[in-house]
Amino acid sequence: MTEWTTSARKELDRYFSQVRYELEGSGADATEVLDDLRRHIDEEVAAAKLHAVTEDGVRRILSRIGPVALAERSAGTEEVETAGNGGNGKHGVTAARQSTSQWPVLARQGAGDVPTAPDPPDEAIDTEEFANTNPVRSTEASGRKRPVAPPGVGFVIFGVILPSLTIGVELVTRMCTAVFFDPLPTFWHLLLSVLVPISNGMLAWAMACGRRDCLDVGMERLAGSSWLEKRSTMRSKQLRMNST
Amino acid sequence: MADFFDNWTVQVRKGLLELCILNALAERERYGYELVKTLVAIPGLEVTEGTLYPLLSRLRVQGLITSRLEESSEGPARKYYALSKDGKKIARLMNDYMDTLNEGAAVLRRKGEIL
Repeated sequence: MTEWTTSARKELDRYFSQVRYELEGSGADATEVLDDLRRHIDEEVAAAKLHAVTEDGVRRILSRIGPVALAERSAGTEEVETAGNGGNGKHGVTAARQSTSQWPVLARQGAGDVPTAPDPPDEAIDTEEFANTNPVRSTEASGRKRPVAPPGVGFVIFGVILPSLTIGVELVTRMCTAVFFDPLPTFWHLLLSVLVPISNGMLAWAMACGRRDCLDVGMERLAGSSWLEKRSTMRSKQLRMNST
Repeated sequence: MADFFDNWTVQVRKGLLELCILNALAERERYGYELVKTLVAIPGLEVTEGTLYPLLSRLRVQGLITSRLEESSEGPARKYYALSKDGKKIARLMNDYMDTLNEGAAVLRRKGEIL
């Protein structure tokens, strides 16, 4: 019986979370792939006759497995610049990563004096059906990860500047406290409140830099903290109203 | 020059990978680990396990291959993959297509006397 250390399990869980993200929109069943990978890793462990699986051991196995879903990403999203030359047979390929589903098309397009590739025979499966069942073509349709759009001016004004100003004004003048209720009764309320402009600011920065990994990893935690602050403030407001 | 060759091989490999999977399964039913190790061992294909499992899943979702789980006395349960009827059809088409392409390319190569 092979035993897994806690850190090994954590490492594997981290990897699986990443794989699940990578497989979004790839056309593959993420749960199935994770089960397959788990089974594969178990086979690797059994083949290596390991009695205990450590974090390093997991890393070694995972490095052999390699990045998941790399094939369809590079197949579907990288651009091929083909010089439209009316069939003189020259391709100006700068980033010559091409989808597998496009190679029959490429052969026909760039043919020139080169014999063209044959169409699939009529009797088997028609072209449309072939296209619909072609795994990589369907990936292209659904598997592309949308590029990160830069943040809009409105987002920066209302998400970063305005909340910062509001907190600043309240801290200096205590306007809301005097008229209505204290929105920042403790240091912790203040800390959670400033997470709103901070998380939005980081989001804006990540969007501006095109850092999708930043967007996915930490932002939901910050957003969750901001939500906690709102909930906490609402609760203190409710308590205050109850006491009066 | 090296970049051009690398990019070209990437394109060729991507198209071939699916065909290799279908051909490997056309021979006989194989379980995942065995299939993956077979394909990983093909020189020049340069594929990793990480790229194969999503591809296998996609092929299954699209009905080109089927899978079934079977308990194994040697370790974890094994998932056996086999070609479906549509998969056989597609594999035949793809192989015919590859043969035609290869023949055309070979004719040009002979005419050009590259080697």
